[in-house]
Amino acid sequence: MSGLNLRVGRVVLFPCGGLKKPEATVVRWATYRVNEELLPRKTLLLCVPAFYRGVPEDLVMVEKNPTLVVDCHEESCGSFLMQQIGLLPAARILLPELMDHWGMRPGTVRQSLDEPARRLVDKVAREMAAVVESLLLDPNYRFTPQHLKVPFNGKIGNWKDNPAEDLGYIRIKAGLYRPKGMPPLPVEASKSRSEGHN
Amino acid sequence: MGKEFNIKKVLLYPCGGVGLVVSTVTRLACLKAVEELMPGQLDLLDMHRCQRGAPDEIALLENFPVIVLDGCRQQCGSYFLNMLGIKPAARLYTPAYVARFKLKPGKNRAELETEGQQLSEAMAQEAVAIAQGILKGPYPFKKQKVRQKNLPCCNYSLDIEEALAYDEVNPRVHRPEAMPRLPGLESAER
Repeated sequence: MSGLNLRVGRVVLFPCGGLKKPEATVVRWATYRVNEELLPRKTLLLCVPAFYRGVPEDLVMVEKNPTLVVDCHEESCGSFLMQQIGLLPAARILLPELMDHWGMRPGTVRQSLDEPARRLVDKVAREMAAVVESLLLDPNYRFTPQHLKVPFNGKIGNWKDNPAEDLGYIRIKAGLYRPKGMPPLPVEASKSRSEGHN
Repeated sequence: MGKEFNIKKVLLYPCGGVGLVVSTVTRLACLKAVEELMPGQLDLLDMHRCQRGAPDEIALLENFPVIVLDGCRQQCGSYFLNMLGIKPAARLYTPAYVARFKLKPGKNRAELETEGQQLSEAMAQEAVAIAQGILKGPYPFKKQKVRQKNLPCCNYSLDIEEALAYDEVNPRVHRPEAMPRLPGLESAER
């Protein structure tokens, strides 16, 4: 990418926004936890319906700030939106991988969440906050604003396509990815430094 | 739209937002209606899976009438359906429930406070009443086709109520002019 390289002031949180799976509720609650409690005033929430509606603030936020997408399932609906609008997220969290890594499950309740699911919310929120905080605090991480052309003619996705593949995701660690076209995440630099020491 | 079909279930579609508490109100209303009030006769519509192209989700939208619950004045739920070329059977407008029942959505977006829960309950009850009327009939529903390409995204200047030609059924409920009357809620005569 070319253009301005800016220090990050805020990060956009983009929870998948699904409805049918308890995982979507977990991701939504974790997003609220980060937005309200863990990193107040440091994050913005992307509201997908408002984005499609063309609400100006929802369009501007994804152009001017790096986005953390959280996909609650391999269907990758969140990543698909980014692919469709032609913008790259700074990072992507894939919940099923984290759940496998931690040996945790979201339960079956969708209206609220049971105790195990609440513990999962807490862990997911901390994982999200760690990514956001690293983008905010690392003096070497620079973000180049991206540009949308709106209104635009979209299309329904092809179910057989793999947005994760199309976005060129590189796996950084369990549950954490970034598109190959985006700057390395601060955690990658510290990982390679620690590997260099060993 | 083609020939008429017997209706086996009705879809509920909450606006799906994350930023405002009213989105949680619509989401909870739909979950409550589907899981507790009319299990087996209602289904949820997940707009994210529609947009992703999930065949089962598209099939739901094409084969069954959908009731949309708009959370705020942006009316994103109605916009999304219109974008896909689908007319809802009915639209419930959350701000009108706030005004009618004098209930505030509250501040907690994850878990609604008491008034927010009562608000979602009121919406769930009206959605169920509409769905029961549709299922009982007569309701001459014709299948619709989801537009796959050239979806008019991000057109903020579009007046969605005008685009869908919403008629007021009552101050909280609207229906596109081109869709069948809602049995039980509307008299046969205009």
